[in-house]
Amino acid sequence: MIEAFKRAVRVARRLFTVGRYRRMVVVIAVAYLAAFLAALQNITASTGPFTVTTGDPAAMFRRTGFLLFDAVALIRTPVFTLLVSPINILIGVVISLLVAINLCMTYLALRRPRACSINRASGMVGVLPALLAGGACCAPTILLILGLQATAALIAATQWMIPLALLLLSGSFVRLACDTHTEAL
Amino acid sequence: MRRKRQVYKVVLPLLIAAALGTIAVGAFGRGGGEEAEEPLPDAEEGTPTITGLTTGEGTLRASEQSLVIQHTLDELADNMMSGGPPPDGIPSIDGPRFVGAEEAELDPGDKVIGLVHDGVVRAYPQRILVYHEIVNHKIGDENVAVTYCPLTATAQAFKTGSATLGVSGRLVNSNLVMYDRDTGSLWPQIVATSIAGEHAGQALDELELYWTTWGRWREQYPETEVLSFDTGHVRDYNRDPYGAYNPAGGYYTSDRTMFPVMHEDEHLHPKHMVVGARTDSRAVFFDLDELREEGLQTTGRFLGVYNRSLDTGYIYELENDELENAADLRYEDGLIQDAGSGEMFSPGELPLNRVVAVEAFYFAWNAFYPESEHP
Repeated sequence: MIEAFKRAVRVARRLFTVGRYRRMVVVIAVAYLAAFLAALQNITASTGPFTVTTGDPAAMFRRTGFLLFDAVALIRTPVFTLLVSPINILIGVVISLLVAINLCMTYLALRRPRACSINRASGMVGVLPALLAGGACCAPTILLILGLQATAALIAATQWMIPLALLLLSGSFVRLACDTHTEAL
Repeated sequence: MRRKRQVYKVVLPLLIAAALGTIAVGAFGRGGGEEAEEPLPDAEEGTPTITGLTTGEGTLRASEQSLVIQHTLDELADNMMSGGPPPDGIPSIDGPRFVGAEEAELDPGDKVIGLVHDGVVRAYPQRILVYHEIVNHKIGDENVAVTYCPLTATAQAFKTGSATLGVSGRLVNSNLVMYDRDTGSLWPQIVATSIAGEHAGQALDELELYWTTWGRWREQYPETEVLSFDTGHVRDYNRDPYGAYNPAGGYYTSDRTMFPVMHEDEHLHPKHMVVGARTDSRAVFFDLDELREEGLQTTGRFLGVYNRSLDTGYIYELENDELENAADLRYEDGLIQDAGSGEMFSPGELPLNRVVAVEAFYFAWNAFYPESEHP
């Protein structure tokens, strides 16, 4: 287990030190982070002048849902509005990096089978759950988007999407790392 | 290059540790989502009803009158479900600020909830209440909670003694379930009656609110105060997470409901607005479109009157000896004329027993009061 974790760290370090992989990881991570925050409704489309509103910093620890936290600032731009919730952003950064690393390694498995001898679908595991975690006040966002009717099981399931994403992404990352020949990257 | 490697070596474990820490806080902190499906204790066992509620703050004053409910308390409690947020995950506004009408940045077509009580005239923008659902404040000598449930389009105000109300995170028939911060009893908003906890079976004293537009409210009450967007919370008040009212769209006009309901039929579109009322023994609703068209409608025991200036309805309960007199009433040009005596009355000031009227989506009223009278 410890060996697998060490191997995962080695692979991650390798990805970050090679320029083209690093760029790929950063681009995917930034795109996924934006999608994650949009799913939480922390990023929304808007119009109007640029404004910044700040609130009580202590609110960042106040929970608005399971593993979802309150905002401490609102940044409005002519294109989008960002609710700055530091802990949501932190969780988003971790998930986005894991997604990016997983997708990058899946790409490598396609392009350089010698370096990465894995099932090509492995890296896709866990990409979706975190995007289903958002909530719109009283109800999960997915109900609004898909027009589904809530059941107790569905509400409970949406609450566990973030831990599920972290678990799946971490697991698939470690597994991918075990099947990767770092020196061939 | 080595320096960069060292940075990654430090940053990566830190990110993972931070994520794990957050999970621990999220999973085991106050009011976790997983407690949402805990069974409720029997009403007579008293509190606690669900974990994570704030209790022991102030003293709730329940009403001496009861209100009819058309399901048992147990049925209502059994049909309650989590909407996702933990208790107070939707934060009530507990220190509201108010500004004058001229400072309010509202469009005339924006929905507001109006209150006239004890010399106080206030408007609460729907755009704010959609994110908070409850405003706790003192008016006169006791606390008044102005509440709004976006999923059922219901705005109701309650006198709460020295206690305040919070958002439990539960819903029944898509309706907000409030809790009192004195005993932690659970109160579905529409029935205004506690379904679990120390106050189970008791009702709250209600005040009438008006679901109208800012333009109509300001014209009627130019001296009104308006709830300030400076709520102490950071929210995007320019955006409604469910849809829009100006113009109407999204959830507010779709034929879908988000949560299961205890009773439904196809008498009206689920999101059609009705004006309802209940007493200790009966419930009634009037189709707002029909009331607008006819001005005045009666059922066996109730009289509905259209208020043209606010585009809403008033409801009067009729005693036996008033039933015949009600037949003499005529709606003319926004006023009510008694054809017998020739006297004219404004819609809200008939010499009859006016009861608190509540506007609601039809599906919600029908789910709670399936045996309602209606014209």
